[in-house]
Amino acid sequence: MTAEVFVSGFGVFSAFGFGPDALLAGAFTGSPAFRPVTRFDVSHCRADRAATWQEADGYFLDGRQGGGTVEVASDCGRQALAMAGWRDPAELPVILATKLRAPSLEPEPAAGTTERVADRLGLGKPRRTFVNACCAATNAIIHGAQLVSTGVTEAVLAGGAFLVDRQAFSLFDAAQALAVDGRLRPFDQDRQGVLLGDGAAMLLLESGESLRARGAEPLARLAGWAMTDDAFHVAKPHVEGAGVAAAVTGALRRAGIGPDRLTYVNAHGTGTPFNDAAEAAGLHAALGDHTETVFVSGTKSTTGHALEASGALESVISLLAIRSSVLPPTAGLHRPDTRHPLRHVSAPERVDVPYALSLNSSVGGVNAAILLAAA
Amino acid sequence: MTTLPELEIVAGAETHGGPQLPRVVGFMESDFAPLVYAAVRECVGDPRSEHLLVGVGDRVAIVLGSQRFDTVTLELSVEHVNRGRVNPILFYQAVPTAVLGQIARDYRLTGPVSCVAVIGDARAEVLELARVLLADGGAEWVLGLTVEMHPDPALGFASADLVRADPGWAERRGPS
Repeated sequence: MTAEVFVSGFGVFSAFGFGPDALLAGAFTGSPAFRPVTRFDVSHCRADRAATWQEADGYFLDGRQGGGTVEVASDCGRQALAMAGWRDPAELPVILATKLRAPSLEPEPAAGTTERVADRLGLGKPRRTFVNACCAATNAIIHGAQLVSTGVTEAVLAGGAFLVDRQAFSLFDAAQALAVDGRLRPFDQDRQGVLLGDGAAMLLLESGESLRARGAEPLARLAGWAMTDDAFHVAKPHVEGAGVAAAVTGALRRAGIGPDRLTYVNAHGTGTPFNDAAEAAGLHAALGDHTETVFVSGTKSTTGHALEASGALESVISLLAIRSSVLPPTAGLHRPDTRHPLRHVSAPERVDVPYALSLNSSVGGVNAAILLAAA
Repeated sequence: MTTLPELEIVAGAETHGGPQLPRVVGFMESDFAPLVYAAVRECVGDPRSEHLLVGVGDRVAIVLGSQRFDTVTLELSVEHVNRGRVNPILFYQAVPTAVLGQIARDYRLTGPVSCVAVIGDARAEVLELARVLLADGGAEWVLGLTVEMHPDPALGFASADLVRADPGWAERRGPS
């Protein structure tokens, strides 16, 4: 027997601040949050912007690298518990996506971050930590969903947290991956690259039986999920998006729906030519003729790329699209790619969203998709 | 009521670091990628041979567990950032999924790929994740990997276990 999985609460943080209202006022109006980086020195770098929440700069004043991660993850966890009306955190396992850091920068191992978040919130066990790069938070949520669906637990807190730090910024800058024009423009012919962004989100995932037992209402249903690998290249995505297509198809199949029922895809959309092209090709392969009808946007164009946490932030954005019946746009999209054209959301669009899919990919050809449905 | 399967370990291997470790093309300095790759090769066979995963690549998940992952490359990237000259290759080499992408390519593995950071016993945690993956139906086989670096390269090691659900599990579980 497998249990249905619902989202009954969430907490979210981005460069727009804490909570869904900040995200609705920012990402959902297409307002990019990029600003000059002030929390560390970028004078030696090619790029100088990121989507940072200025009040989080305080975490970096004493040179700490990962200090703020525990704080924002804990705050998001607290928001999620309060929104769901969950009373006994000790019953909840926690699954967190976070960044690996060198011991000289962060003596505490990555799993220690999860332990500290769990201790602050009084959470139970297991406590797990996913670190598979840009798919880590998507993986954390999928693993949480698997724990509920297989009956290991009735509920679980899952998500991820990332704050833009000097190390990540410098590595991306050295690889010439950052957009020097200070704009992240997924699927636009004039894109110049990616930009990083603060981000965190924690979702309370719960079985239908648990919701009924405590008389609570779900916010959305986690209808499907899938993870795949391109089996193509150590760093580049498959040119025809084979792994992306398999992840999208797998998530739809698990939900028992065809692409005709899908309304919206929150794309990985990093604003890099290789990723955008592979993702668009993969969506065409998975959706076929329905590619013309499915709305697509890349919200990293406003929030920046929250790396390990991006899947959690974007799952919440997809959930908010379902709840608000508004699709968040791809900011700055003026000249869309013509090969593998998509139905882009270039301005906020009001539309009913029964199903929304959040898609992420990472180095090593890893792909992950989460399909959310209206509850 | 949990329905996780017991595991059948189909094959297993451990590899240690040191000068005898074959290098992996495209990965520099660190033993991390060579250790993981060598453990996989020891466990399932060379990718250019009739290895254990031929024909089942779309049903194989990879789970890699470690306490600190590639400390050598992570520290190297800190040194580069501090001196203001970063080798761009570190951009992807500092990411643990990079070597798994290489393994997935060479063995044609298109299933889920996860990396999990642990505090205690990495192998126990990896095998527990394998049980969840198998129960969920996203894979029929799991290549469970662990790796730990050590200041003395010869003491670095990696392990690989190829596992599947105990054949009696699905029968005992009944219809889903």
